[in-house]
Amino acid sequence: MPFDSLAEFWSMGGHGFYVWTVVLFFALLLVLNLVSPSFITRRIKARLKRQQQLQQRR
Amino acid sequence: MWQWFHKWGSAKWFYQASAAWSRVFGYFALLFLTLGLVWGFVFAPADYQMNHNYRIMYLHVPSAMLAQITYLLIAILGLVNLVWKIKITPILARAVLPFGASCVLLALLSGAFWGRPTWGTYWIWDARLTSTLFLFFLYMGLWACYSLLPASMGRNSAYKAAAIVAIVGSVNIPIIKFSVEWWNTLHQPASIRLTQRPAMPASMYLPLFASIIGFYCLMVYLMLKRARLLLLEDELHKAWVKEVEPKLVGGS
Amino acid sequence: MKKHRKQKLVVILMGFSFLAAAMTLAGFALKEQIDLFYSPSDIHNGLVQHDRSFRAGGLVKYGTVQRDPESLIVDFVLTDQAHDLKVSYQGILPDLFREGQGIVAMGELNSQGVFVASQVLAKHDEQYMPAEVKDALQRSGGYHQEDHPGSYQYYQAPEGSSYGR
Repeated sequence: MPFDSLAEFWSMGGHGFYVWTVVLFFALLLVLNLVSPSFITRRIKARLKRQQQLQQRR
Repeated sequence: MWQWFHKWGSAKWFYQASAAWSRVFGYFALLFLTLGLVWGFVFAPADYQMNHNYRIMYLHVPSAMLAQITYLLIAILGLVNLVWKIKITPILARAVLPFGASCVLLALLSGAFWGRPTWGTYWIWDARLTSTLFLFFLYMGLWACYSLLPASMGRNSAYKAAAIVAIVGSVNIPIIKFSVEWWNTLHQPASIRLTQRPAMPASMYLPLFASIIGFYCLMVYLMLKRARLLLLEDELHKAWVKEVEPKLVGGS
Repeated sequence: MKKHRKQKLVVILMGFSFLAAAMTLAGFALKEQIDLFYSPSDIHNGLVQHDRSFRAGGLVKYGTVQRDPESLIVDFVLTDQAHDLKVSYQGILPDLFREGQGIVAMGELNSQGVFVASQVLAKHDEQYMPAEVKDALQRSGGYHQEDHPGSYQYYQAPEGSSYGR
């Protein structure tokens, strides 16, 4: 185990800022990629709803 | 063999079969990413020169690799679409694009945050970095093809334009790969190659391999997940959609 | 394969190969512009104009780093094993700067032929090694600093050199 304590782990030998910024970027992009398919679902549902309303008006 | 190939022409078959594949790749992605990243960031030994800072490698290398692989995949899917006109190929290409763009962004950002403490600068216009930035612009170009060309013109023209951009742009991939050998650069040559032993011990490369496999699985998972929805959107009024997703379309 | 498909495939592949050939030729023609830095040999051979700033790259020659005790001025010799270049730099050096390390410096040649650098960047090689392994190797004498000179694998280590042991 290369780290003796949790504090040492966070500091990453003084490079914590760089290492954890990269990890944060990764987490952000991962979440964005996991969530974004639901935008397509929402788009589909909105389209179906619009068409439904159009049909009812006729 | 031909029957297997023909199956890919059926949107309904793809939609139904891909649900299970997507789930399997999702679980593998979770498994390998957790393994690779926890191992890499917590348990792998520190480097003799860069100390703990080198751990950025466990995100930088897979993201840079997958940014290129994803682009090649989009180009191949584009070629197949132009020649054989298999309906699912442009949808797969469009579905995997956000993942590829995210990868190239992560590669550039993680490279910058690795370069600052190691080289002494966030950015330098050397051949490797510049060609990777160009890859990012190519992804943006593909994105523009899909989002600017109106759906009313028919998706096919957008798909064709994107396929041509992807194929033309793929000359950039060997340039990225060999930039560190053809020209002199600040970026170092590759540490892991298919033909050689990695330039690091197993305690360092095993977590890297796990992370790379995790990124591959993540690509397939996200591609299939998006492709299914995009296919549904493109074919919303076809009979098969009502058949397989009665709840979604049922009301109309 | 149907005929029209084959034709299409051939057209695309031919277009692609022409494009690839054009890019390859451009890459060769623009080699000097794309290269990030000049080596001490390039500078010795007069490839660089003296009145403009440019990047020089090479290895920090063993035993040449002289730090001025009162300021941040550092003098060292940059080498590609064929030719040497004297460098003078004032400022903070990257952590990886050390003798035998590959570096890239931005600056200008002065009238004495000394390269006055305004920025010094460290190159890292593709080798990674756990710190403990390096210590153990060093103790047993199996570690040779000259086996890890930046990424300049093609530069020969000095004969009989015993640096870094």
